[in-house]
Amino acid sequence: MSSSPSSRLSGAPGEEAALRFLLRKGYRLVERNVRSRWGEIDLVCRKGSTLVFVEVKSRRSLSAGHPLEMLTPAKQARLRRATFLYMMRSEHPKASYRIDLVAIILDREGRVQEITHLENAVEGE
Amino acid sequence: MPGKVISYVLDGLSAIPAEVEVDASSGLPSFTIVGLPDAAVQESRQRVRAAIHNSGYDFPLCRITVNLAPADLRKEGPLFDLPIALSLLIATGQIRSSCQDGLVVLGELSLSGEVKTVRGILPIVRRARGTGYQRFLLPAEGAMEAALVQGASIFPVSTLRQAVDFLRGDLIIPPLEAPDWTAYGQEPVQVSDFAEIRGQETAKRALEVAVAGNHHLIMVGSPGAGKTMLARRVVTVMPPMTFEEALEVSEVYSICGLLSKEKALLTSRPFRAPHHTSSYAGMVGGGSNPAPGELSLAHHGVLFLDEFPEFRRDVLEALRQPLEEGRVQITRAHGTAVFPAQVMMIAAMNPCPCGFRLDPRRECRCGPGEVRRYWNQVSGPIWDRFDIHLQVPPLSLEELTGDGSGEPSVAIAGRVARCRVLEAERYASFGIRTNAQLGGKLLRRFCALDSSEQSFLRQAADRLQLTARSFDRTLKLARTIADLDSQERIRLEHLAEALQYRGAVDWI
Amino acid sequence: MDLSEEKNKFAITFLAATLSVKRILELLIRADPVQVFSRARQLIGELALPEAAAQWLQEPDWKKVEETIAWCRTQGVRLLWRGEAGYPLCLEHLSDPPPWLYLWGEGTLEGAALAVVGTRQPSLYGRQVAARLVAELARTGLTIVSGLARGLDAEAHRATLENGGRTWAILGSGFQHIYPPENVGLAHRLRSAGLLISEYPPPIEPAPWHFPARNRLIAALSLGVLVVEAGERSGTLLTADFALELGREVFAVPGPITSPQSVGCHRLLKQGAKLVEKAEDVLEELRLELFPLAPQTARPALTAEEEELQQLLAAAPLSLEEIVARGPWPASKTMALLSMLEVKGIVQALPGRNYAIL
Repeated sequence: MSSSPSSRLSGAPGEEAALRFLLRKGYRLVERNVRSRWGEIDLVCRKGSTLVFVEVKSRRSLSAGHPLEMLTPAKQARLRRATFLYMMRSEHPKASYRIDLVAIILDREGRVQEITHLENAVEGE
Repeated sequence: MPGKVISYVLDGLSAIPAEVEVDASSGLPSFTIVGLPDAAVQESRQRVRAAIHNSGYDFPLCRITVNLAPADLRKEGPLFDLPIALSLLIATGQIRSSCQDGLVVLGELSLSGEVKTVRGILPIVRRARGTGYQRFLLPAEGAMEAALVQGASIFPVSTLRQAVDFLRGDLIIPPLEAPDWTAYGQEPVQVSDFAEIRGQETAKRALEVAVAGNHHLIMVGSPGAGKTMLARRVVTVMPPMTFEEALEVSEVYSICGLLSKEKALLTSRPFRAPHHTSSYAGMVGGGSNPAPGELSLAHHGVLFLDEFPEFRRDVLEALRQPLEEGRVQITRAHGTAVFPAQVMMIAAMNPCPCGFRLDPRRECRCGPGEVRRYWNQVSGPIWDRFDIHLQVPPLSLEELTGDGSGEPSVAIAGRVARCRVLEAERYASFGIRTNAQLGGKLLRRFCALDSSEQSFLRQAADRLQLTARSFDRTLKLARTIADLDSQERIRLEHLAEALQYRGAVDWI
Repeated sequence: MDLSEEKNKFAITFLAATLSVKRILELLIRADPVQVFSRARQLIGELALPEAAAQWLQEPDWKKVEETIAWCRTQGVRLLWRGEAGYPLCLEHLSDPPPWLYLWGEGTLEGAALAVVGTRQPSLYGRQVAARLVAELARTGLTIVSGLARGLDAEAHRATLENGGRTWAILGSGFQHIYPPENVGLAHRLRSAGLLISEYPPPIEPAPWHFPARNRLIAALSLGVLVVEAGERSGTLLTADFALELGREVFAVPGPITSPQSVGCHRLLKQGAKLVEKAEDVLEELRLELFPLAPQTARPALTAEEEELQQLLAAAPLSLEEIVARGPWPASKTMALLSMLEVKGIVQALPGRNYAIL
């Protein structure tokens, strides 16, 4: 697992907005852009004693569908595996965790119009 | 720490204790139910989640596994909602565990957290009580039927909150008072009475004999002869059910969801009249969640089959064994469900397809081939089930506008009741209850004849060309007729009357 | 008779299904039974025989014939040709006497016979009367002849059997297809008290045109024909016609003028048939003093109540409900009394729970 700080920041104003949003809600950032063979986890945060993995989806318009609809079954499966792997390798594999989705809608100039935070967006099987 | 709650599985009329166990462990949140749940039970998850949430409790975000033990028994129906919800709350520490010990819990949950009634509460509670369970947490809507069970403490709840508060000790629920079942009583107002039928003396007498010995009866007559009228009034001369019998009937209706808060105990004998288009399952019972059929819904009452030859052949054949055994066995892939079916069968039919063959005032339009085919729709063994064959002549105008000058049902019922008591005493240690059930050795024993009666019957058998079966039927009927006459020995006149109830295929 | 002659004789009888008796007779004038098949082509040409018959003559199904012969042997069925000993001479009165008869049963074709015929849909009255008259007539030793049809024919056969008499049933089909099917049992019971007679070999099925032919035999074999009930267009009137042609007596029983089943009989009476009220009316006309009327078996003793019930039924048959209404007894007692009378042979149960004095 490696974290590559710079390459993800550019072209991801949504991610920044999401992080600021979560921090204001009392979440603490643990890691960001965690890579694994199952894909990338956008944000790893902590709320209370629960580890919260956050998938951030942003869109400039609704024409391609609301960001909430972008969580395909395939994507969900990859997230499950990625987070499971993370937990197994962490110091507290048995801690409680969940996967949230933060959906961002930007306007044409790239300013944040709407943020939706969906807790427990992807459940276990 | 798993939470465990006792519930019950209903399989036909038998009930098996089930344990609802909830385990909450770490992992990506999920909610699964194992233990062979059917679709309705799977849907519990949505109901339980919403109910818990809407009742103000926390729905835990973790790996929740609900096990419905025993694991190899299929679980059906929504009755596990409440026990699952409570078990979950126990497992997550929202209710102190062990306060549910010794308590049997059943109930469906609505999304808003209301506890709704389920089918089969009466048989479940009855059997659970028999196994030793004494305390029951049940939906208030349907709890009344459970109160009928002796020695059961019933705690009715209408919402999940009430159930939780009860378990936490924050809410005291007094056990439901058992209603005084004698207060239900037989309906004193007779809607229809034999006295309303003028004339038809032979038919009334035949029905009296039929009910007295529980003999099956078939009526042949033109349309409008009053066959249905006669059949409906039969229940008015049947003796009242005992409490045990009422419970048995109520159990069947409970499974069909036909009991109500107001009428938790059925005290009048059932009268079922299925249409001749009834299916096999409708008549006998069936389905994957086996539901009782008309035969069982008529338990301890009357099954009236109008237009008898029009019933599907397979449906008629399906009647044979249940009529013989007094119960219905529905075999499915994973076991047999048994429902009671001790009925008195009354069938009615026309003498020919147009119906007017024996009506002297109308002309029959049927060809002889048609008539023969009409009667052949019913097989020999089915005909043999009927002890009494009755011809119902068309009603004359005077009879139609009767003024209640016939004998009232009450008087007939009195004789019938005395007769039934006689039979019950006589057969107490022989495993049967009525004269209609006599056969083989028991028939010879209880219908022994003196020599003059024997020779008369032999003469009659010869002259009237009785088959062996009709010979036996005559004896059974004579036994009932003698009982109605308060006679110990069967006499000539009893045999003589019995002979008149024999069947005659006289369409030639 | 050597085997090939026997086979031929059986084989020829199959022509009854395809040719009228007249034509068969024409055929037999021209050829002896042994020659019929060898001279088939010639005969077909000379007589201009129809297709079906020609087919059989040229290519008879010998297998079927042999099976028939075997069946007849096992069942005890006899084939009697005209000209052989035992062929009833009275049949010679016909313009088309049957060239052969199949016979099945323990009876013989001898003795005085009376035809008793009637409608297939008799009224209760008709049934009662047929049973009563036949009971007495059968006891005199007369053979009762009829056609085994539904209704009064069957009634006549039955009443004969019940009274220990003799009866012949003339069929419109072969013995393997007894018609109508509901009388098959009756037909077999009849064999021990008489004969089943047919012009058709056993495998031949009934057909509508066989029945008028059969009716002429009923008339021809009897001294007279008694028509108990007949509707306006009843087939039994045909039998009466044959009887008249043959110089046999025709008897008819009158009925209520409102009854459609008596119209035929009334017409016969108007045309001169003898009116019959009791058995003596028939016997007198036939000048039969062969056997005196058999004495009635002693009437069994009746209780006072049974006598009373018998009185109620004296006038006409009544339904069970009517008897209960008119009598002083409750339904249970009435039913018991009726059974006693039935068993004693005084009363008979008729369709629809009606009862009549025998």
